[in-house]
Amino acid sequence: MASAGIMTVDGLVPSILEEYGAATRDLLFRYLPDTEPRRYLYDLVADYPRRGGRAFRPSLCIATARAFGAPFEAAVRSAVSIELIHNAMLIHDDIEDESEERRGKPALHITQGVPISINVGDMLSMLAMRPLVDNRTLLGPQLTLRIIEETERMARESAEGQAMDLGWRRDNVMDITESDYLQMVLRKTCWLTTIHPTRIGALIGTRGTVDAEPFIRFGFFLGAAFQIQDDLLNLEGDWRSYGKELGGDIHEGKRTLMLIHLLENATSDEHDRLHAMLARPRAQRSADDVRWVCARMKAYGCMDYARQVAHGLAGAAEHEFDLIYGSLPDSRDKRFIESLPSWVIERA
Amino acid sequence: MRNRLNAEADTASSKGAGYTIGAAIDDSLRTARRLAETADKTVMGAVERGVETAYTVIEEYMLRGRETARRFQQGTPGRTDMNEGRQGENRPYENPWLSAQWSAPMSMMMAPWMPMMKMWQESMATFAQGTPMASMAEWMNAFTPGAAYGRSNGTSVIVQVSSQAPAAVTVELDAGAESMKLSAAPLQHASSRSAPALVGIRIDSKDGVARVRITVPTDQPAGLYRGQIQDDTGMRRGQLSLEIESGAPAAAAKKTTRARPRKKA
Repeated sequence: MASAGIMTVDGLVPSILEEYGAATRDLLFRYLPDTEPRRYLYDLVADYPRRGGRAFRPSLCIATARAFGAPFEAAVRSAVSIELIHNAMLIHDDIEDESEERRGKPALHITQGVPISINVGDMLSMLAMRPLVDNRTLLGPQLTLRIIEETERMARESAEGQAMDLGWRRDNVMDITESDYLQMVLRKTCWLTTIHPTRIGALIGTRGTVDAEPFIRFGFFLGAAFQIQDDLLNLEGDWRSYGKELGGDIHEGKRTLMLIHLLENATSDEHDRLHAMLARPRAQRSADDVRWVCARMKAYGCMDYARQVAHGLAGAAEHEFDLIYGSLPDSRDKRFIESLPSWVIERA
Repeated sequence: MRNRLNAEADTASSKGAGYTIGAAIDDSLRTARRLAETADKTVMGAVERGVETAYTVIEEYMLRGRETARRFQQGTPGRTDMNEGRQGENRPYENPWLSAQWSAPMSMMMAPWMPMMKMWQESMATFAQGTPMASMAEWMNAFTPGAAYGRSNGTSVIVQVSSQAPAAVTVELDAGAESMKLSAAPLQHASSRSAPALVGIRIDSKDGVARVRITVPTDQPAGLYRGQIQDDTGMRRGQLSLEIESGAPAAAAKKTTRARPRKKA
């Protein structure tokens, strides 16, 4: 059962994120080659990981493995791989989205240019393979292979979700529904952020015997709530802690839940103006455009609406948590995972 | 669509007895209301609509996945190109995959990565079907760019053997195991079941170095002995081998230090 304490997120979540994040990063940097060409590749490969980040994904993987009974060492290499892939995807996402900032600094392609940044992202994703292969000494070949298969699936789901997101923007699709949005988020965000880390952790913790399907459901609700909160922070957050330009999603024309709600409620004139604005290239969307969209979103209660949906999804995540983690013995890691649904919608 | 999905999900779900989507939504809504009340902005229509839409999305996704899995079990081809690699295994994914309109545009990152992944996967599958771990390690070592990993650490092991007869020791430890609390199982003679096991092996880990101490009784039969090294959870962390030579006893207790790290960290 979800405990009554779910209403408040104590220091457990930040504490575990810090602990597992530090351990993951420590091993991650040992997987980054210390060789030439440094200037154009290996120094840049370390750039995004050195900028920090919450290490949410690797921590969720390690915590799930431990909650199911595995030692830390059994999960940490998979966690490193997840973090490397995440950083690789960030580099490419920043290029595809034309984002200007990442973790409080200029995005890599802003400082190094697009061609070199693409190559750095490629290398990071390749480097993510080595810790997975190294898993074989601890986990054996069967489970190692299963984790690689899971990683392949996650990568495909993520690319498919990204394709939906990019395709909608390129073709200026205006009739996206909430259901379409959740299908896109399921693939683009949830697989890498929550589904994959929990499935991998549970497989490691049970030596491959767990039924991994229910983790799709739990990860979907948790990850979708996470994404909606992230989109809200993009509009309303504190720049210093958010680490990206506020309003950037509007600038980039991202189909967020707030934008979809606005499109559903806007007047005909407003809809036409939105359509015209989103049809222009990013560089031709002005700060005034962003401010106008923000104001319309506030007028139609789009942020409040999205916030309530996120609350609902967090509630669904709690329900699914009980079904798959409820029978496990109490542990710090189990309580950490149990706290996540409320943490993801309360984080700033 | 919603009603059909609910009916299918409630009857076809593999989540086991007692799980219904309706109950799941009710339970989720109760929690969501509680969370929403604390936010002091109750827009329950949004919560209910969001949760129901989300359950519809995920159940449709899972149902399509199960249908895909059933098709594979029946031997019906339904995937293209890269999916074909999975048809040989009896554990197809529940993933429905996306329709053709979204499957074509792969991101820039995936393009160079996926062929390599597939090659790795197929090659590993060959070894996963009963090939000994040693062969797997040799195969993988061919791909190890050891020189490029300048900051990698080797495994540090010190071995101390007290024996009247000459003895050689081989320790294989998983990377990182030297920092764990380790113990060694009794070493069993490789070819003689009647030979007594070699017990009393101590392993102390300190400052990232594992120290293995072995005392061989004077009447221990010669031969090769092997045993597993495990951590305090019982997980296998390596192997210890000791070869006691026959013939004249050593003039003094022999101290052999030989560590062969199995892999780099």
